[in-house]
Amino acid sequence: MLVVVSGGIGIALGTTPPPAAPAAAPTASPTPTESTAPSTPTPAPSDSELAPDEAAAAQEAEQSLVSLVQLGNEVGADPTASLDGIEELASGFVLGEIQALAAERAQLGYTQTGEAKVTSVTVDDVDLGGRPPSLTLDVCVDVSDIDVLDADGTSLSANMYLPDTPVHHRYGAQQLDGRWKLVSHDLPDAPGACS
Amino acid sequence: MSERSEAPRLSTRRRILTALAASVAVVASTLTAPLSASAATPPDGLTSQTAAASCWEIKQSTPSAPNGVYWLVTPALVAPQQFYCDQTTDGGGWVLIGRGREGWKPQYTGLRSAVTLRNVTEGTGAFATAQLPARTVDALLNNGRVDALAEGVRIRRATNTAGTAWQEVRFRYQSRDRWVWAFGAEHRVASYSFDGLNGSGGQTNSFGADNGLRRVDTNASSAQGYVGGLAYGANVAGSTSASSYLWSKTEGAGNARPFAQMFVRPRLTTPGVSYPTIADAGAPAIERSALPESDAIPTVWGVSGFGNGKSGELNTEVQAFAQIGDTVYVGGNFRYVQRSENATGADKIEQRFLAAFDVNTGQWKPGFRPVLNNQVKALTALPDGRLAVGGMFTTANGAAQVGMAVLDPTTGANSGWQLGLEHRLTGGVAAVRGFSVEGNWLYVSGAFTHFLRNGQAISSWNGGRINATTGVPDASWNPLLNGTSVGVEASKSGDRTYFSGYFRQTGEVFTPSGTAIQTVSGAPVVQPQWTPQFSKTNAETTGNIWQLGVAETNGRVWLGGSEHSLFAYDRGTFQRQAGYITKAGGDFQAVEATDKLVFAGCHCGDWVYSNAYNWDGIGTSWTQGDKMNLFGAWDAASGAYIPDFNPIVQARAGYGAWALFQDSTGALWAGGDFSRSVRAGEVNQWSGGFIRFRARDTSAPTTPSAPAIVKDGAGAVLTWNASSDDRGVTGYEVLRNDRVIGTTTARTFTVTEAIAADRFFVRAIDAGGNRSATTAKLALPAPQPEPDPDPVAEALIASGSAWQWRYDSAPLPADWTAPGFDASSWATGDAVLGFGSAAVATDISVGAPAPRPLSAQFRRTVEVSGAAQLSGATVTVRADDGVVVYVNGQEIGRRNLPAGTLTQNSYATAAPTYGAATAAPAVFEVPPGLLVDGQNVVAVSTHLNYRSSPSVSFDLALSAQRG
Repeated sequence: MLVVVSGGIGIALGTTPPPAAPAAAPTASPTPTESTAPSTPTPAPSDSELAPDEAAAAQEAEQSLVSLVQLGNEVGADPTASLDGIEELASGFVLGEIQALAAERAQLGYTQTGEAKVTSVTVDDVDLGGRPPSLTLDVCVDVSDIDVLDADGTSLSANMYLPDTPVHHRYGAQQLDGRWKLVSHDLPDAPGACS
Repeated sequence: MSERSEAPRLSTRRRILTALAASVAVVASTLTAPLSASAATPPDGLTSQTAAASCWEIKQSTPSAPNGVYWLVTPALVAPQQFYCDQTTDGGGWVLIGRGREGWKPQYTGLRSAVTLRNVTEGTGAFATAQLPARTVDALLNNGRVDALAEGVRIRRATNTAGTAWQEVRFRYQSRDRWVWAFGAEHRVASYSFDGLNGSGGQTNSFGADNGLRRVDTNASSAQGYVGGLAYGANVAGSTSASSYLWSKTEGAGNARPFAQMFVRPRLTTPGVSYPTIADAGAPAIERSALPESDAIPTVWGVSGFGNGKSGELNTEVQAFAQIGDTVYVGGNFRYVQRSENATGADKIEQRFLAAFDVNTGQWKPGFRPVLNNQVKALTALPDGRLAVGGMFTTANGAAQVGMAVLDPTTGANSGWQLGLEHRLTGGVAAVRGFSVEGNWLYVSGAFTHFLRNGQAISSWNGGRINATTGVPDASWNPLLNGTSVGVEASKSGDRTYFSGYFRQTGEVFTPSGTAIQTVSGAPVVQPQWTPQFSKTNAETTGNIWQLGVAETNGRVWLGGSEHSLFAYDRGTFQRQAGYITKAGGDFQAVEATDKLVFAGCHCGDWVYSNAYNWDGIGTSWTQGDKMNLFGAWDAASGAYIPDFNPIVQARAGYGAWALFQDSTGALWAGGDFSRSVRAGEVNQWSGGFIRFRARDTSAPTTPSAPAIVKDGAGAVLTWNASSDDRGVTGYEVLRNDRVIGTTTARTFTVTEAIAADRFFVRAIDAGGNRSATTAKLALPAPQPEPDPDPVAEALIASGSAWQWRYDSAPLPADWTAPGFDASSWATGDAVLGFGSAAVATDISVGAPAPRPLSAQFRRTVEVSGAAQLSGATVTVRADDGVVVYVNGQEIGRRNLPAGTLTQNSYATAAPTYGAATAAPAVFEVPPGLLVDGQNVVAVSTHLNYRSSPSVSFDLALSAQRG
């Protein structure tokens, strides 16, 4: 497994599942920006163990992931925010997650403050020969800056999962209609990969 | 009770008998046969025993019948009741079904009493609106279609404040099978007229030709304080005066509510309706189906305030119920339990989020004092008798418990195994939204991704199940819902569990807002797959789409939520079988089912449309538009909305019902932000967060015992022993010949006129409308039959009678034996007829042609009455020499004549002397039935053995036995 750290987000590209602890921790904090968009990860390096086409696929999938997380931030902050373009980032289970979140938050009147930040991405199980082509993303998301407020502005943090370390997510991505989209989502019971 | 009508009934029968006896036309067997026992007196509506089928029938039978109160009964009405009939307007025959000024209600149950309605029909005393229950209106139509009423619906309205001018309105429905008072719904009007000026179109919420007097507006507008009425258009102003016939909430406001009366004119007649036949053994009991009463139970305790300080839609005072033993637990976002609206001190106790009440008395149980730090959204009894609590809280009795706790049912302390929740998705807010127990599994819905048990996280996305004994989550059963689930229903069959909520998928399967998951390991989706449908086209993935309530009963899965829809799906195929849309508001948010009923709640206060599938345009193919006020009931077997359950309630902010629960007594607990309700007698009361509705009585009284009947003059007295009933017997119905003729609270009933053929039955009734099985038939003893009189010999033709005769050689005239033959040209003479003997009274040889004819013919007509009573009729005739006898053209016998066709020249085959023929006459039996009432003809032909025979004689007697 090759771990690449760049642009403030640790990106790991590999073909085997990540170990319980990451081979390398992020070496830099996420880059703060004025905008709500996170910094764009640097493409995978040329010395990756992945073939160039695999590295490119990983790069595209990772970009979809980062955009999706950002869209989640936007929907969390404003449930009425437009979901236009989400079909370019996600499909199936993951698409529905965002749609369901928007619908629920709109009814509940909950709003999110702060933003989730992707601190590292590890790409596994790249299978460009599959139908459709697929890969897996192990993602660490820093939620330490997040709170959710109810309609009256009261923090609901007591009901939230806010560990000291980033939260480990595992997404499946598939190349659909020429784009890499997030299609499955798991939360490993043991968060060790991001601790 | 008057029996006035009975005397003429029996008198009429006696007159008939007398007349028949006089004509000897009634055979003895008829005297003892059951007579028709129906009343002979035309239904005049003046007593319960002479109740008519309609006002119209009374008017037809008694054209001079005045306006007033009459007894009416139809098979659907079952027992006679009194109604007011307008017998003068437009030919009369109108029955009053509602009247009043402002405050007309859309509830199916009507308003105020039928007594009030019928007794006070005019004047300011009639301003307080009274409406018959819709089922009573239907019964007046004998459950006929409303849109089949020839004249439709009639409204008589005052057109000025003094009530000195009036307007007549008629309108007909486009399609309406049963009566509803929900005029504010979109019931289409086919045609209407205002004082004879015709128009068409519109809906019952507003139709007419202008915006003034020629309009009926039934909308309960905010400008009129949401007070309904049969209002005029906006250009007609009303007054706030108590005596004004045109009312408005504010002086001069348009859409005045006039004093109005509403009539229908069903043209039912007693002969045109039929009552179910009751066997001699009696009729079975009639029991009502299970349903809560629409009147609220008087409030004993309620809840109030906001435990978490928030008052929004998802923070209503009450959101969950559960029962353990005789305790009902109420959970939600309340802060206090209190006895009354303005309670203080010991009558208002701070007890946030969860409290316990006695299931029977409604009394608060102060020993149950759990301490939670946020609202409760789910409650259930665990198999071991502990209480599982779910919600938004994060501590329970001081211990960290995110979203879930298990409590001691008596004290509210934490008890036994505990676990919590984690929601690891970004921004996820962990909460439990629902519980359902099946077997030893506790199924959980909510917002979470993991159960947390003894520090170990077990993945279970937005739903899961827990071993109720050990508290261990089932790691092999992860529904993988990609959004929050709200409703959860474990099928009683144990094979599947349903979830509703915000999710779009179950794992990789598209299951928008509703899913059915097998209970086997791995939690696979049930096949065939359930893909819920929505009331807005293409709304599966966008917009305000969520489903909050789900329940299964009687082979159907009910799913309710946005947008305003409650749909029922076949359990096996998941084909949608029924649809209900609420309009104007709102979304369904609670669905609960029992074996017999489905309850659903919403933030809706207007109308629920049956067989409707789209919102907000409901189209015109829906079949019913009924009132539904924040929650309603459906029949689990048929899936039909039950309009009879129509409580009048108010909610603090209109959020409506978020929890519905039937306790062990059958009482319904409706929880939400309820603030007021109406109990029996139209009494408005405070309700704190929840309202209880007693199960209506579904048990019939016992059958009256020891029934007896004794003759009492021309009538009879019926007696019986008291019946018993779980809620009390309110009276007894006496039936005669399949129909109720009277209701009494006594245990005796006098029928002033009764005959043995009358079949009486008695049954007990209760206040809930249940009827016991009837007694077996009661009847007076049959009268002793009149002894059969000795048969009397009756001579129909005596010897020596006069006969028409001919003695001629000419051929016999055609049909000379037939009754219709004209023998007026024949001679007439008394018997004995003939010649050659001293006994001959009429010598037929005088003037006879030569040679002497070989035969002579004779005819006589005899009048017979009561022919059916005659028997043994015989003809005795001398045969000198030969003779043949015909009765009414049919030969009954011949002697000394050859077989075959006889002519005027046929010879007799023997030549007996006059003396021998007289001593041994021929006797022929007349076949039964040959003699008829009226004229009968006996025709005879005598023949000589040889032309020179010295003598011929003829005489005949016809006799019979009568009796």
